[in-house]
Parts: sequence; structure tokens; C-alpha cells
Amino acid sequence: MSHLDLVRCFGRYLRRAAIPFWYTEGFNPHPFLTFALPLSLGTAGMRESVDIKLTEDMPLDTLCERLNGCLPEGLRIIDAAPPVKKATEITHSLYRIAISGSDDIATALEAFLSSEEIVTQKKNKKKKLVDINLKPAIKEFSVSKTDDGALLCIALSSGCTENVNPSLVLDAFSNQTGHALDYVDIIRERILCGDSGDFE
Amino acid sequence: MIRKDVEKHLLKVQKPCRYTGGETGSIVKNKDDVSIRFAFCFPDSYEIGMSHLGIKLLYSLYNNIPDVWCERVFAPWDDMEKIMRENDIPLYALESGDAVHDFDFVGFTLQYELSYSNMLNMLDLAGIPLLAADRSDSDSLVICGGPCACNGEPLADFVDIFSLGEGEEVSVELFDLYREHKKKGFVRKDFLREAAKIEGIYIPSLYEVTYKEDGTIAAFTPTDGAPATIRKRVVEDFDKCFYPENFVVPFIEIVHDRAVAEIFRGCIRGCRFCQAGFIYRPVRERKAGTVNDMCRTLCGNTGYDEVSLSSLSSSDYTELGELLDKMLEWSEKDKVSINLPSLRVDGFSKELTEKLKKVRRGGLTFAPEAGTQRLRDAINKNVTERELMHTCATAFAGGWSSVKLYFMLGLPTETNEDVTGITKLCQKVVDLYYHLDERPKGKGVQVSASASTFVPKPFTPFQWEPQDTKEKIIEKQELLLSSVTSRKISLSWHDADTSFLEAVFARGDRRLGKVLLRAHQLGCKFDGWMEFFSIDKWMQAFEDCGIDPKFYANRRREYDEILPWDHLDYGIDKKFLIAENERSKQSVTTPNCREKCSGCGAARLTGGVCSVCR
Repeated sequence: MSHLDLVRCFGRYLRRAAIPFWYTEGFNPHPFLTFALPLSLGTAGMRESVDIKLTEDMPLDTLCERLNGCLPEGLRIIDAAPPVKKATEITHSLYRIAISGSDDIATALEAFLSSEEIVTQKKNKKKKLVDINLKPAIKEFSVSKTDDGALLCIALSSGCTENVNPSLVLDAFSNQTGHALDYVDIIRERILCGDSGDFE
Repeated sequence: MIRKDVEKHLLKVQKPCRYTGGETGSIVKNKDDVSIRFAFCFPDSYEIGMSHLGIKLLYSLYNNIPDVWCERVFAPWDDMEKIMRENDIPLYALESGDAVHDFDFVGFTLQYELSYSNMLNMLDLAGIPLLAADRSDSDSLVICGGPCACNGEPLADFVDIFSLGEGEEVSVELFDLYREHKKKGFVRKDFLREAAKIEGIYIPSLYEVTYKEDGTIAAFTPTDGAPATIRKRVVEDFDKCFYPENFVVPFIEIVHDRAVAEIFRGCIRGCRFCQAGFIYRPVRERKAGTVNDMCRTLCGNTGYDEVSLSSLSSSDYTELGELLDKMLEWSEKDKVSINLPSLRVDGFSKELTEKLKKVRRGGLTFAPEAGTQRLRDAINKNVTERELMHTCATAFAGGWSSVKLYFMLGLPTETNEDVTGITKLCQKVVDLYYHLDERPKGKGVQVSASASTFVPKPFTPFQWEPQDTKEKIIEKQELLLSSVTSRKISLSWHDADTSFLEAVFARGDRRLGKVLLRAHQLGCKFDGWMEFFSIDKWMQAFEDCGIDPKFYANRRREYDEILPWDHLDYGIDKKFLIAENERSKQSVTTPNCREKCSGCGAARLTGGVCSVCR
């Protein structure tokens, strides 16, 4: 499901659950929803964050309960809380990536990520391709070998100022080393702030 | 449930959510607890199929039966089809992920002729033998319904069962019979023979067709005790008729992404080109209170913030004002917008405009269908130019500055004057706007005219008429285009080739089965999509089979010719249709069902307007 689809559906789930939430005012009112960090299509998220604004107070556990009763399989509310941190405080995210590929893929990936500089091309906001170095965005990583490839745990820059999508790293790896990635399963485990605490 | 073998390919295809299932409102049962599994197939893309009301209705109705599990299946887009064929993934149902060929019933809804090739392709992907004659006792039963089932003859080779008319009641009876047969050991032939005794069930394999030398039908003979005529089913009490309380709500955006409530079935008008206006007779309404409750329940259960009131002609609904009043009581507070399609030119009052303004300010669409009064009379579209002008004036005064007008090219008795009459009418609407003091300030007017090609359909007064040849249609399209001189008028039209193919299959007979099969082998699919449609492949298929498509599309039939659908009884008498055809030639109109009963024959089906007006 793409981010935009999720936003549209989430508004419907809130309506189904009869949560008194705030609509934007104006000519075409729509549910006011803010997801802290959009997830790419095909990436799973274990702990994501969305802001909504209530128009009347309700106990937060009632909110969770009611909303959970109206969500499709695969989507669960873990917790609801008043906002603690601002979205600008997000610095990085933790990903767990299962990769199927050739036998030596774990070693190759380890070597690739350990290099001094990882330069690849990315479209900037003016839709121009520019060279960027991914290395500073990789906060930490670990690679282990699995039965059908490799398991990569990686912390990448996220947030408003710098945001690196794991598939950008994987594409760079695949293009520059010639290793084919048969199947990639990306899970975003956590969204973290500068102090390495979860975004709340 | 996502199949494991599908999941790993999902990121390689467009819109993966087409293939995952798991939407809210979808129904998952334990397969060990059910005795009948029904794969409801829509032979087009997910977005088109999920927008269709019939599938929502029957999905919910079937799943309300405890031992029946109905699941949804759509035609995979070609990127997904390629992956499925490469990896031996069979066509599967979205709820369970199970292969369609393991289902008891595989049902297709036939909404338009251009989806026939997709039906064959889906059967092929499912691994079900294409020809009904090749299926064994262990193969699924292929059942078809929908408007095109009123002449399903081109599909007779591929279909085990046709369900005629409204499926709400007849399917329950069919399931009962199936359970019985399953208990005593299912034998396909025996089951089909017994099923033929249920009213509304047509088993094509039980009939033999012979042809005359000139290619027309000589005789249509029932065998094995099958009835000589098969009558369609209708729901008598529409107000009490089942309606779903919940819909499957897709993750991705679909064509009609909103709640829908059906306000009435049938149409009182009897426009002579319109098949729906005849095959859904008699008109039966739901009470405003019932519809209001349905809308509120549906919005609550689905989370939709938009609801559409569906019918063939909304402004003919006798309780429309009352319904809108009731709905406005809660819709504004709940932030639900109301959508009212299919408005008629003559039913657009100032009062209605006021209510509609509160409701939603979308586009306005009207369908005068023809450019001159003479032709509008000939097709019995009882709309006058004065009414159209009045309506547009009301709309412009109400703040609208654009209208969409639908027309048809190639209608019987059409002359060049009728074609250019379309432009003249549009120009009059433009002029009206600028002569109106109350028009929206500072805005120009936009009139969008859409000209589709007339396709003669079974069970209409024009069922004997030839369709204009492609050359003639293109000539008329060019004439129309050259007559437009204002930039305030924009014009769009339909592709003549697809309309031609539609005309061939709409009134086709069983001999077209081999053409369909050949076209499927040549790779025809998604014929309603210009990126896939290939007239060359179709013409090749006709040629390979030695069949002249013009015999079906462009030939005038005699009144005494046996038509391929003559053994089906949709409640409309042939002599009524003949009389209507004659009146059309004289440009004489026929009153609508509420003004005066014209004796079409539908009264014998009972229910609705027939019992009120007679």
C-alpha cells in the first residue's frame, strides 16, 4: 500500500471507529492526519507514528481499542499518547532487511557497506540526477549470512533534513557490485530521535 | 491471505494491492466449515470490478449463507499475468488465495461485450477447460449473469449455466439443488438437467441450433426436457430486497470509491436505444426511509465519506426530495457528501438545485442523446430543447459554469442535419450562458459534448437495425468535428472499431464461439482498454473462422427472423418492440410507464410500477 493510499484509508478507519477527529476547514474538508515518516510501498513498519487531532477528549485506551476493531489485518495501534517530540527531532530509522541472493552476498554486502565512500545518484527536488555519498547516512549496520542470502540490520538517516531510503543503498550495492537481489524484504523496526530514543 | 508464491513478486507489478486481498469488509471463512465455494469473477481490472455494485450485493448475499463462501477474483493486469504464467501461479481468489479451479462455482458477471476475451483468459489462467463440453464432474461449474446474459449465445460453448435477470433469489435455489446433488454424488449432466427446471436458469448445452442457408437461424430446439422459453427472474418487493450493510473497501483508489445505495431498479422511460430501460422492467422503487437507513449504515460501516444514489435515472425517483431532506439531516454533520448521478434534463428543478448545492458541487451531466427534436422523438428520448435550455439556465444561475452533454452517433434514421444539430444545440447552451444575467461572475462557460457510437442491442425496439458501417461513422464524426467553431465547446467521441466489435457480439449467435476462442489464442484481452485492443487481431480471428462480422453488426434483420435470444423471456413482447420500431420511423413518442401503460408485457412479471399504474 502506498503512503497516499494509507492516508486515505486511515481516515476511513477513523470514521468507522467513530473517533471524533478534526477535519481541515475550508472548501474541501478532509481528515487531518500527519504520518511522521512516510513508508515506501512494500516496506513494512513495526512502529510508525501518526498524529491526529481530536475534537473532544476521549480516553486513549478507548481510542486504541475502538480503532483496532476497525483496522484491517496487518495494521494495529500499539499505543496512543499526547505528542512528546516534534517530527523534526527524528534523526534515523532502524531497518531489518532480508535479502535472498547468491551465497557470497553477505560478504559482498559487508565489504560494500564498509567502504570509505558510497557514491550513487539520486534525483533532487528539481528532478535532476545528482551524485550523493551515502556513507554519512549509514549510522551503523550489521550483516549476517542466512540460508538463502543475507540479513542486514542498518540504521539510516531519516527525517526532514536528510532521508535515505534503504532501497537506495541496496540499489547502489546491486548496481556497483553486480550482485542480483532476488527478493528483498524490508522492515522498518523503529523510528529514532537524536538521543536514540523512540519517536513519541 | 497473500499467497507466498505471489508475495515475492508483488513489488515488480503496478498496484500490488490489486492482488493481496485483506481489505476491510472482506469475508474470510474456514474452508472446512463451508460446503459451497463460489469464485465471483469480474472479467476486468480490480479497479473496475470493485466499483461494480452487483458484485458487492451478491458477495454479501452469498456470504450471508453460512455454508457458502464467496470470494472475489479479477482479471490480473498483464504485468501480473506474465509473472503468474512464468511461475505457474494459477488464477486465485483474493480472500483465501486458493486456486479458482478448486471452487464449486466460478461465476462471471457479464457487463459489456468487450470483456468476453478476458473471461476466456481468466478461465485459461485458472486451468479450467475452456469448452463446457470438455469439463468433467470434478471441474468447476461456470455460471454467468449480468445484462449481457440476455444474449449470451456467443459464450454458449464456454458457459455451463446462465442466470437470467436478477440473481438475488435464483442463486439461493441453485445452491440448494447443488447441495442435494453433492450429497448423492455430483454428476454434472444430471445437475444441469435439473437446474434447467429452475425459473431463470438457462443451460445452453441443452439446446440445439440449426441454421438456414442464408446464415439466419432455422430452429432452436430444447433437448432433455429443457423448457422452450426461459423467463428472467425479478425481485418482486424491491423495498424489502436484500441490501448489503457493508462493502469491501479497497486499499487503492478505484473508479467509484464510495458507498452506493440503489434507489430503484428499472426505468420508466423506454428510450428505444437503451437496453437497460427494457431488460430491468418493471420499475421498482425503494422507500426513502429505507434508502436513508442504508446510506447511513453503509457510511458507518465502511468509513466512506461519500455516498452515491444509484439508478438509471435519479430524477425519476418519486421520493427524491424527501430522501435528500432526510439525508441532509445527518450528512453535513458527518461530513458525508451525496452524489446524484443520472439526472434527466426534465427533472432538474430549482428546488432540487438548491438541495444539490448543499450536497456537492460536482459536474453536471445531461444526455439529450440526439441533436434534433425529430431524432430525439424517434428514439423516444422525451426531452425538448426548451427543457434543456431551462435546465441549463437553472444550473448556470445556481453557480455551475460547465455542463457535459452526451450524444450518440449512428442512431436509426439519423441524417447529416441531426449530426450538425448536436453542435447547434451546444452552441445554444453557450449563447444562453452569456445572455443570462445570473451567470457566475468572471467565468467562461464550458460545454463538453461526448458522442458515442450507437450499438443496437437485444430486447430493444432497435434490435433489428443495422449499425452504421465504420466508414459511415467516421464520416459523421468528421462532419461533427468540422461543425464545431467555438472553443467553448469541446468534443470527444468513441473509437468506431470497439463499437463495431460490441455490435457483433451484442447480437451474435453461437457460431461466434469459435471466433472468441481464436481471438483468445491470438492474445486478445482487455478489449475495453485502448492500450490492449487490437482490431487487426479480431479481424484475423473472424477471417480464420470464415465468419463475416458485418453479418452481425451491419445487417438489417426482418421482423420474422428467429433472433438468437428469442427463446429468452425478459418480459418484453416482441410485438411491442415491433410497434415501437415502427413508431420510431414516424418519429412518434411513447408515454412513460407512469403516464400510461403501453403494454410492453412486463406486467406479467408483477411488482413495481405495473401493479401501481394499471
